[in-house]
Amino acid sequence: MLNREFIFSNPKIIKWLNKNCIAVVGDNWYRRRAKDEASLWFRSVAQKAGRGKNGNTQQGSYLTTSQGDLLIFINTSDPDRFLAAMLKGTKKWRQQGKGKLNIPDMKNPDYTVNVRPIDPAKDIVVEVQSRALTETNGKITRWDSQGKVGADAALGHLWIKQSEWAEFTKGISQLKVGQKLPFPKRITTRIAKFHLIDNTRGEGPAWKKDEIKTAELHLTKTSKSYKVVGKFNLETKDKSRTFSGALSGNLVVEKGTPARPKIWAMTVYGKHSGEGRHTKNARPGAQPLAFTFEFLSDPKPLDLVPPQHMRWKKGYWEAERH
Amino acid sequence: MNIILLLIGVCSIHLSLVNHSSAQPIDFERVGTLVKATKEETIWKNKIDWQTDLWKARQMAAKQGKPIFIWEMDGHPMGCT
Repeated sequence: MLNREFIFSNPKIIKWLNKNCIAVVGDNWYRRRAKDEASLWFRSVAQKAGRGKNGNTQQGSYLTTSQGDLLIFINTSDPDRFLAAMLKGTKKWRQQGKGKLNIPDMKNPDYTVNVRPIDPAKDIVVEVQSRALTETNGKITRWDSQGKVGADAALGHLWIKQSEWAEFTKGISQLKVGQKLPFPKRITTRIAKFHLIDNTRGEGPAWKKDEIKTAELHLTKTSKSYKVVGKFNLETKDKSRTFSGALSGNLVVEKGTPARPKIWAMTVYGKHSGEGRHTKNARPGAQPLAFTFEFLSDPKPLDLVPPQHMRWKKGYWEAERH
Repeated sequence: MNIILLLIGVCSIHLSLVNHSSAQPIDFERVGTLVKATKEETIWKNKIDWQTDLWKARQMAAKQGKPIFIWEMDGHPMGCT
């Protein structure tokens, strides 16, 4: 997403957006399918920009009134063109007048398509970051992409339901130092299939059930916390895409039931090869790819964006079955 | 004291697994630091007052008399990549 770097990191654009607009960001995959009022309203705006014909994407940048009058649309990673378009849209806005409108609350969220929000006070939200690295003579460093896409850290979220965590941790306080407890297959598989993916150049494909050769994750009680260790071997049938890596981390839980995490941090380091439909131009061969998983005790609204592969809700929540 | 013990534990864990390609232990703590986004890499996320609920954004815009800027992508910009 070049826009992140070239448009939304530009100081002039940041200042303009924060001063003049209400800025909102979304995943068009849901928006062009869902029948909630917000999605229907958005599609009516996109249509005015000539976007979304025959089910095609509506991705891009829109400036609109709250009534739904399109002021300007542009899809560019050029900051000058972007800002010029937005200023043109703002001029139109001024000419139209700044009428206020009372908009009632939305009644139909359409959770058949949209993702039901997670409850951060109960459920577990884990921030997942990934990055392409290099390893030379055993020394691991960030990949110097020399301007190619894919060097920045990528971001995602792992969701675990309160009931899943409670089931896993119900006997945790009974463990003695040195005793092990495997993570539930559902959680381990969810991590493997949907989070150990190469998303450094875009939407990485999830692993299929039969592509998981090894997925092991367990914790061991220590004197003050729990150490977490795991290993993963994932590969497509034709071996055109593979990942093999090790996981290390720690978990500290709150007192009480369920034993909610206080600190839960894990790092995965491994080698990844191959690419997906939306992640072309991978480095040749198996190259270092690493992940961090960090429990968010007080997630902000931006942290509550659903996991990418939640588009297949059943597959995500019942990861070990499908 | 608890934090010190935890850090000692984490460091020992972090150096305990072997990097099979080079037969050297993986320094997971260092790897974790390398992975995490820098401040510069998250300007787009942290410096703009983004909303994630379109309907609420529309309500806010209507109330405040402002236009709405919508950034739509295939894959959520705040969490797919």
